[in-house]
Amino acid sequence: MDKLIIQSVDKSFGRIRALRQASLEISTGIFGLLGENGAGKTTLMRIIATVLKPDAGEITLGDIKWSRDSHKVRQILGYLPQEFGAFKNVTAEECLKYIAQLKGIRGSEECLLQTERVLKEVNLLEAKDRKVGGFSGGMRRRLGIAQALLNDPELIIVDEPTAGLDPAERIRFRNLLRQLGKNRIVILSTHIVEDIEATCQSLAVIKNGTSVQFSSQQELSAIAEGKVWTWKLSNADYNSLGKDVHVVSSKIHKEYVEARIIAGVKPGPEAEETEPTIEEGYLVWNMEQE
Amino acid sequence: MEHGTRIKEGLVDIKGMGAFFYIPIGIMAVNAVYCYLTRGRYGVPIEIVRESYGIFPIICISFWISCLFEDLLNSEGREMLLSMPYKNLEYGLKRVIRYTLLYIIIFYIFFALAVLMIGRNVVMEAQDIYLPVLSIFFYSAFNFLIAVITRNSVTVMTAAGILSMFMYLTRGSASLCIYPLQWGNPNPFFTPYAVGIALFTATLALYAAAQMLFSNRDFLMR
Repeated sequence: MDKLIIQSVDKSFGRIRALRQASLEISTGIFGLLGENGAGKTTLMRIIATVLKPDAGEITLGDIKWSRDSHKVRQILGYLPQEFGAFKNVTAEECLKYIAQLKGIRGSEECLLQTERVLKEVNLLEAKDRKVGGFSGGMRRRLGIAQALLNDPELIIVDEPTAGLDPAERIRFRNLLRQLGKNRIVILSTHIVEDIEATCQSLAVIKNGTSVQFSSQQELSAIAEGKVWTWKLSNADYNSLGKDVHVVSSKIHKEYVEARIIAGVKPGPEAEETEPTIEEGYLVWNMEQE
Repeated sequence: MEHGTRIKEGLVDIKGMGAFFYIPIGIMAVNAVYCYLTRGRYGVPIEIVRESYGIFPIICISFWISCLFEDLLNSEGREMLLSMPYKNLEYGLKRVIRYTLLYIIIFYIFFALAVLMIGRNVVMEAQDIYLPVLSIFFYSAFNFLIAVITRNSVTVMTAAGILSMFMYLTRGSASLCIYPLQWGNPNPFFTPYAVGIALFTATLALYAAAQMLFSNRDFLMR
């Protein structure tokens, strides 16, 4: 399958420059786009989904150019935005059939087949006759993925899919995403590092509208190599740690606190260097940008 | 699109409108009863029907049009819909016109019912056909444009209400014969033919503007 190539995409909203020369090359599989709120992730997702037009730059997938072939892009695309709140007064099945028609699926039999297939894939077949307005947050997200799967798209974009979901729903969703990435391009945009860790083969980080691509999770975590320490401290010592010490996480035990710390040099005689996680790699990268 | 699938798509649209689909129908039904109860009061029977059906039932197309695009323009799910490969003309203007025609059919069913309920000889004129049709289309076009610009169904209905009040109070004297309430609340200085031409022209312009904006997904996303 062809690569999705995003070249030097710019987008501004008035004086706010949301994207600055964002460039990525994305192959088949699940690609993570990680960044804090306001970094430009959603703007980029909307541009790929053809909901917004970039001010400059180009996106291509094989022969398809976003600037020239937006209708064709929409035909091969499945998009799950952050919010999925449409069609509250109809049942899940009716909603999907309606969307199937918007996507150009012809014939009521074909519509029915595709609707049932995607409902089964997201485990909502039994709820197909329930009104969408009565769905829980997790069910609505799964319905959102179901509509994105209609017409078997080559490219799926999922924007902050697990935000607001309980842990069980989040795990279910990640498992579903892993299945989806087997023979298509899936772009997962999120600020939740665990989602990236659980699902993505390659990723990029976006900050202030600029993107940096990493070929693997290990490449990102390697940025924090030699800078992550575990340190067992007494409660008193832990509480007196200065603000210049960057504590990533801490585990409270009966008589001590086990802290993970990011520091350029060994923060104390008993601190031990440890293997960094993606989250720590991301934090170090973020700090270096600032 | 197949006929069968179009009907099913229509049912989803109607369900999506919720109670607002039925409000205009309820009003038309009530007006039919009103015509029956007041049938002895008027010298010219058709005037009962014009007065009953010439104001609110015409304005009430606003409920339908404002709700028709609720999901696309005003909901949390609009991004998803905006990324769909729908044809702009099919999903925009043609859809509005389909529902406007449906509304006109229902309007005339209740019009016929009211005429039957009057039980006297009701003499109709050509304006009893073309003026309500053009007036309903005018409101349909106006609401389509306001819906696309404001993306808020409450604003659409409020705008229709304000326009109607202004039109009713001025009897169209400030709007160059563009007077969609002429049939129910006539301005004696206007001829039905002149009002018909004005409404037709204004409707075309409003539909064109609305569809042009509707076709711009960047604009709809703002």
